[in-house]
Amino acid sequence: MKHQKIANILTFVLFALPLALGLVLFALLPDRSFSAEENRSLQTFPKLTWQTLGKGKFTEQMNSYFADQFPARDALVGIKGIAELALGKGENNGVLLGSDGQLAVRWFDAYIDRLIRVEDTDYYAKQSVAAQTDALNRLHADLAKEGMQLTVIIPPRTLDVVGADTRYPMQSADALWQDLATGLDDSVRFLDLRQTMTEAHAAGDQVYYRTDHHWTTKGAYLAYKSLMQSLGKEGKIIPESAFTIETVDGFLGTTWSRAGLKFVQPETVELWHFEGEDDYIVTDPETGVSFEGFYNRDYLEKKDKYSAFLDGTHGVLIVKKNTDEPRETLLVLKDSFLNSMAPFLAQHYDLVVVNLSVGGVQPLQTYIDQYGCDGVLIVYNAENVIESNALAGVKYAP
Amino acid sequence: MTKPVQYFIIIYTEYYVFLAETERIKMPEEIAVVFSSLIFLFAYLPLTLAVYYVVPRKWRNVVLFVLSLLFYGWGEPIYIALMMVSITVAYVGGLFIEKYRHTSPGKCKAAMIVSLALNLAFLLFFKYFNFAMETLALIPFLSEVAKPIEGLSLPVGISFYTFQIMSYTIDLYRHETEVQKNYVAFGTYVTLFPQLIAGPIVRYRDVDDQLIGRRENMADIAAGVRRFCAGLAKKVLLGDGAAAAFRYFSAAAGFENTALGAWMTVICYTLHIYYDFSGYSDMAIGLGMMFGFKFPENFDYPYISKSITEFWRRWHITLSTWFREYVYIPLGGNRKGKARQYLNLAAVWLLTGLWHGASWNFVLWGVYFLVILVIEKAFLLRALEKIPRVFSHLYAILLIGIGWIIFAFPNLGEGWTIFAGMFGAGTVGFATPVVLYEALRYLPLLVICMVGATPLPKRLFEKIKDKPVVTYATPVLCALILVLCTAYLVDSTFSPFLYYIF
Repeated sequence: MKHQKIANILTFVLFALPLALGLVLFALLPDRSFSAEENRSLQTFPKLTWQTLGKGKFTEQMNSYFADQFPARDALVGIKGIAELALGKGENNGVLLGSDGQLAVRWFDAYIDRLIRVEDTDYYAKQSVAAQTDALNRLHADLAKEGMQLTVIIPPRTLDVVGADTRYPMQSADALWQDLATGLDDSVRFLDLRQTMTEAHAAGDQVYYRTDHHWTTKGAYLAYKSLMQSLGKEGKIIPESAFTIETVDGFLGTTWSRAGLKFVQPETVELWHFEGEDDYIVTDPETGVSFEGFYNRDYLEKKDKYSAFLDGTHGVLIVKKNTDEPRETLLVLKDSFLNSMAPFLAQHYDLVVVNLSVGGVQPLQTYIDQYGCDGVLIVYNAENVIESNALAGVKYAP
Repeated sequence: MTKPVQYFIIIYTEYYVFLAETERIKMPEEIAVVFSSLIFLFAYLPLTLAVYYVVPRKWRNVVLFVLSLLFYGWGEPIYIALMMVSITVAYVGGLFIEKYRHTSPGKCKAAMIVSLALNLAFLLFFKYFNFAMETLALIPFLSEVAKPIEGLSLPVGISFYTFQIMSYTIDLYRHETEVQKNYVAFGTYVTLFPQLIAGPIVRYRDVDDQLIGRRENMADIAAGVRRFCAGLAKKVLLGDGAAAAFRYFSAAAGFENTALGAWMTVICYTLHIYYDFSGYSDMAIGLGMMFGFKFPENFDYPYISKSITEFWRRWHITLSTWFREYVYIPLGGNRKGKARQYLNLAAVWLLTGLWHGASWNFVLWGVYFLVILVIEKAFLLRALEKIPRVFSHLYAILLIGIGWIIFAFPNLGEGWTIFAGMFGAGTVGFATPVVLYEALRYLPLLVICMVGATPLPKRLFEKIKDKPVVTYATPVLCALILVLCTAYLVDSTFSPFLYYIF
């Protein structure tokens, strides 16, 4: 009985103490306005007015405020990740954990239509993918009439490249590629880079990041090489030996943030420099901002290091070489996978880079007329094909 | 042409919070402070406990009343006014019932009816008005007149506290309890935050003697902490895990229906709803103990039942009790012949179905159990007792699971897809590699859930709990559960905006 009495007091103390500690730390620690881990603004103390109070908005924001500013948030997320692995789930938050700390997102949000998405699933809407391949077929036909070529690169997901190292059944990942291959007309120049990438990965090359969903600079280089080959320009490929590689340590990408598996170690981002890099000018025609070379080095100091390539997200970018020699211009419809590939491509073409993921994309004729483009390239990764239907909206004429 | 695929719009139905808004059922997290939220655990609870125990005893009910109103009004502050009206109506009604009890039976009855009618009116309006309008609008010439009210949201816990208030009025009229003249004490009973959102449905006479002059003590507080932590673990670690699996498998069935996927959908929902709801009841009972209250039990291992009759004695006990006491028996129960008994049962089960939500699938769900219970009463129960126990267990759990399909899918077509899939109809095969992979991944969690739904873990604990090691390990275990649950709760609010680099 005496034991039980002491244990009772202990029960209460050990229960009340963490609660009180959480509250005190919450009150004492300064509010953060931004989370680098989540790359979003955090809720700060909400405004209290009669109106926000009456509509329940104040209390709703208080809930978010409390959750967003909770002490030791990142550490607690890590504890949950470990608990999930301990339960034998083999993954956390839809991210697979392979050997050597290789992470790969496995759950995506299937885009059904504007209103409906199925979150966190292995499946995708076949109609949505078909609508996108149909649009590309039409675009190909329209461009052919104008005497222009369309090339389509759908960069594989990390899962497609490293999935074989995990217990994940790859049949379900492969289905998408079959649909893409059968959906696109044979005359469309479509580059399925899975074999190139998996072979390089198997040979020990790091072609995709361990902690991020993008390909590495090496992976981007392989994609560039494949593109040049398929364009019949093997002879012009710049060899790896022509580049000086700068390494930046401490990269923890988006997949790492989502996975919550904090024991996975940071990795390296490579910038492949070459002679005369400063002759290339990148300009955002909407804001007028322009810079020399391909990198915004400020990002290399932050968590979001991949944004160093082409300065992260822009709606439209023009990449030009400061030279008198005549150069072809390529219109590139893309997502962020293109950003690390652009330094290679720019050595052969001036680029009109149109971001498919930010909306407001014009019919292609507009860009082609305005900038005098000679061909069209699409670099839009498989994950975005599943999660959006941006490709379905691409067309030549208004 | 690709074959059209039926896609499931996943609407997450919580057992206890349904909104009268059509289709859209909000997560309780959106509209209220739930026990398993960070702001409740780390702000509301410690502050409430501290204030409660710091103030002199006579102020404790005031503290509970005021802070419970804050808890209730957190989602929709405007509804505090509604709550005050409900309380005042029942309080004043009670005074009149008492006043006229011996002098004027007619006025006494009138006071009861007015009190009940007003409180029921709120429930009917907020919960069923839009449902009724939409149903009426299906009749051609009424579609112009019957218009739902947009943005009408259901006050948190109205289904629960309305029933509690009614138990006071009815019991007082029957003179099975005494009138409460202390407004704060009565208000405390109605608003008491532990049972406000999701029960248990505490009848007034269950706690009337605790409202004034209850004695809190450390043994009860510690027992309350243990119970709360157990409930928290059930809800956050097991219930939410099963819910995630349910969402995965039910969505997968919309793309590619498989037998294994259909079974997993049913199993995961069956486990999810038990851990979610009974975990919530455990937390409520535990919180009650921390403030010196003893609430009735709400669950008694429902999934070990050997018949549906037994299941309903073990599942959501306080609701079944309420319907028996205040609907079934007043209607005559089984005392007025077989035909009347079946009619009474029909009334109870129609109401039970509707109580769970204003939607036709809940009506169907009630009718489903009505039919089974009538068949069991007629002959099946006797037969079930004769066959080996393993078969009666299988019979019961299978029917319970099928019941949950009706319950889980407001869209009956989606439910039908799962039901048919369990028996291989409309499937692409027994399993696809990815469904098999996912099923194996969840297997350890589901096994823990299944074992935890039997009395086995508790029995084991009872055997060893008096050993000093265990006595001292229990508080540490509770603290660990608290930290682990906090980690899961923080993770669920952690929403990386990943695709910022387009």
